[in-house]
Amino acid sequence: MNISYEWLQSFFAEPLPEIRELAGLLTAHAYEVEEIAEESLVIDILPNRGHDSLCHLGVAREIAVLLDREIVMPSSEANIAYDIERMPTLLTLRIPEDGLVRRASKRVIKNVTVGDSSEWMKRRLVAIGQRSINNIVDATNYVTFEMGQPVHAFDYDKIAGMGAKNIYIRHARDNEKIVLLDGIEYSLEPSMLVIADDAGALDVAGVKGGARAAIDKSTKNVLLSVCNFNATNIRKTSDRLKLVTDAAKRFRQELTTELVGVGIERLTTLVIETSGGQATKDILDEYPHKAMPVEISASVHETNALLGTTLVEQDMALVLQRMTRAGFRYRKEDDRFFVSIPAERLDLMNPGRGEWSGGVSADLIEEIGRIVGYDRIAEVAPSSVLIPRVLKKYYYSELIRQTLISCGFSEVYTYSFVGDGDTDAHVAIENPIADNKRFMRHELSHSLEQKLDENIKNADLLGIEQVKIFEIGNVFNKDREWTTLAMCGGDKNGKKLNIEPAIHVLNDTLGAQCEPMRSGRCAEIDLTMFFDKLSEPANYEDLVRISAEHIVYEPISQYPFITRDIAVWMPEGADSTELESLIAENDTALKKRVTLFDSYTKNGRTSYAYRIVFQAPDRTLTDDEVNALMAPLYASAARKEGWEIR
Amino acid sequence: MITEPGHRHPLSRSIREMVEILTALGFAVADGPEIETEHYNFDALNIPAEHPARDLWDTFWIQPRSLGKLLRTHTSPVQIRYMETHRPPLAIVVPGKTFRYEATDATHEAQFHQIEGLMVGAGITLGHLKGTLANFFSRFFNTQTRVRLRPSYFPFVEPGVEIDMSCFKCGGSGCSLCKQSGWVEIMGAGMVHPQVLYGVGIDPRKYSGFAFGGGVDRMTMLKYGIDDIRLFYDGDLRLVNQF
Repeated sequence: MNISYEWLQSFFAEPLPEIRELAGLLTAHAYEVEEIAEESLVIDILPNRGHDSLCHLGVAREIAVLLDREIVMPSSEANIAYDIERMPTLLTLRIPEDGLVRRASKRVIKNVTVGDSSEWMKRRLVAIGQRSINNIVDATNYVTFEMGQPVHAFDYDKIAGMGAKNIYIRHARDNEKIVLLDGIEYSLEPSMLVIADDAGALDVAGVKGGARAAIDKSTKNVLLSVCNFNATNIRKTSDRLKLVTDAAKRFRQELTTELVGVGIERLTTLVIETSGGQATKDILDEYPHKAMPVEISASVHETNALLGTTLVEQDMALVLQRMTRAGFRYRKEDDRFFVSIPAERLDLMNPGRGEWSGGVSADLIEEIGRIVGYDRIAEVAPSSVLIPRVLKKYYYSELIRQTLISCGFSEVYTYSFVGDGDTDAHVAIENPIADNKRFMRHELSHSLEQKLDENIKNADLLGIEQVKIFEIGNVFNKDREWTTLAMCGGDKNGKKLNIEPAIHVLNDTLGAQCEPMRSGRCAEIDLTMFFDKLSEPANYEDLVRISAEHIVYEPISQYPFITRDIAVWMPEGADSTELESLIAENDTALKKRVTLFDSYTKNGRTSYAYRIVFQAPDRTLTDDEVNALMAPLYASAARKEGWEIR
Repeated sequence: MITEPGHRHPLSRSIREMVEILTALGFAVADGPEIETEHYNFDALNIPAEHPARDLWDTFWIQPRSLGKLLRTHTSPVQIRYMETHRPPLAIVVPGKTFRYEATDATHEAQFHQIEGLMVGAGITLGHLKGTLANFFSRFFNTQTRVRLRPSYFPFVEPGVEIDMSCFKCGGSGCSLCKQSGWVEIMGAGMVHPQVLYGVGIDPRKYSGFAFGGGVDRMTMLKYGIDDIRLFYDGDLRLVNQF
């Protein structure tokens, strides 16, 4: 949500703290300011505050509480001329009885002049990334971004009928067509609500206005429309039409019906201020179920017991006093503070999903806590140390990890998603993110086998002869989710690793016989079944602790490596380290690994062969480049007394 | 012949370290299935269908959709499963694989790992959460760490907070890792929502609890300076053999 600093300032008589300080205050006590963009704040309003804070007034109310300042409500003192007809002579209004329209209000303003908006209005709208269209449309947008209530204006003269025109908010007819303001024709369904006249739909209720009664340059008389709809219904309509408009986003967060009343008054004022005209004195207002005031309560004791603070009554009263700046009222009865909630704060009320789902003391305590500041909470070490039970699966999985690692196996993770599967037997994803991620894996061996080959290609870079890998992870079929272990190994020459010794070590360590399934170079063991055979471990004590060794991670180069071998005859008994230090003198950051891969003695001489791996972090090395790096090494080896390069 | 030992995957290493730290504080390891029901993943955590809060979790659904089965979007369902069968005082740590329907890039993966903590008892406060996490981060990042709470929202906690830790690299003075702020946003947490306790038959008038959940991948990336989350799931020993 984009919030203009200047716009915020308009609610306060005294200058606000500078924008960075204000952002810090909001982030620490209300919601996260993600970004400061020139003269506006980008605030991440989470769903619980979507009811009240997706607008400048909402953020201003937070600031009023945090700074303990009075909010100056925007002016409503325009010279409103109320000397035209009464609404019933201009319009009739009917809403459905199923409760989906929670409130609807209409008012006509006659004799407006459509033109440019005032500079201040344009400036504020542009500051939050809105386009200025004309004074009427801008006024509707302004009200929305000021108080959070979506509002709409129709060209009254384009509505069908003479005299008192009929407006119906009703369900759309099956396949009813409407061209919206984006110029696109939409096909509607009966679950959707429309605002209609005798000629058909004018507007998809709560989502987007239609083209037929749109405001244009020659509009003379406007019909203001401010409503409140069932949030779920708007959500479904918006999803079905793939039309995620600002209005729909607001309605799907649920708004208080009380906003409709203030919204239409504010809109009237702004339209008349910026485009002249005369408003009807009265408003058509269908409001079947008035919002009821809500009170929540908490004691100081309860507050401290949840927050871990040491507040006294006086502290709590001071916070509640500040909250009156945002429309809260409070009273004290015995040891409890009873607080009445402003209508827009639906997040503090019970949403009707269970006794404890809202409108409870924790709601009030959270308000107190964040306003006081969570930095007031002292760190406390949990006092009663429980003796935790041991989780068999965790214990044995760890034991297997450390056993296989000691046998020279390295652990890899692969994806739980796979591309191939059998829809009858395997678990398919309804909404896969990619074609090769349509199923949940039903075994690990297949992926592991691929990873084996990929790693064998890097054996020289890794400095290993044989690649030995394993994975422990969950696999799935239609009836079951279980944990398996897969292991495999091989080398560059295509030789498959004999896994049997490792399996024996596992069986010995765990004290039972596992039953591996073989597939290619892999063995896979159903651990869920295997663990059933094992005894309950007493504690985690015999698991090896992770060494505290400091690991420095070096980023992996995405570029190919090049290997060069150097083999030298040296006098018998000469140490390989002599050659090794010569290689080390050949100092280059491109040298990734040096491995002694062969040595033997014959006829009074010993041969040592080293493999050197070169790789650059940022480019592909050329053979010439590597040859140039090797040349001085060959040269200095050749100069050594008694050495001969093979 | 002496066998050179192999290497532990960095995520396994982190999980093991995290579990060691928390079991020493009395937390029991718990786990649950990766394919969950809508009930455990959402409803029992006070995230009803049709509620805008559901939008906070992009979900993979299992075919057919009518089954109401999904890939768990967080480790929090295990809170519910555990509390259904255990009474307070209780404390658990839940490491596990989780899934989010999102496009993959260097910092986002459709599969990742979370670590969840839950402690419920008489007189548990946000202060205990703060104390537990300060200890946890200090030990995991090997440096004395402070914890900062900011207001946030997760439907299954109230108050809900975002946890920042003092930057382990610069100690809070400001560096590139913490974008000069001195703080690193690290996990979500809060006091268990009374509706969640009530739903599993624990009386919210008698007991309170804290819960926290964070990304193992992210914490591991931060700790070692690994810049691409996808490396974890590539089965690539060029990563693993460095650990």
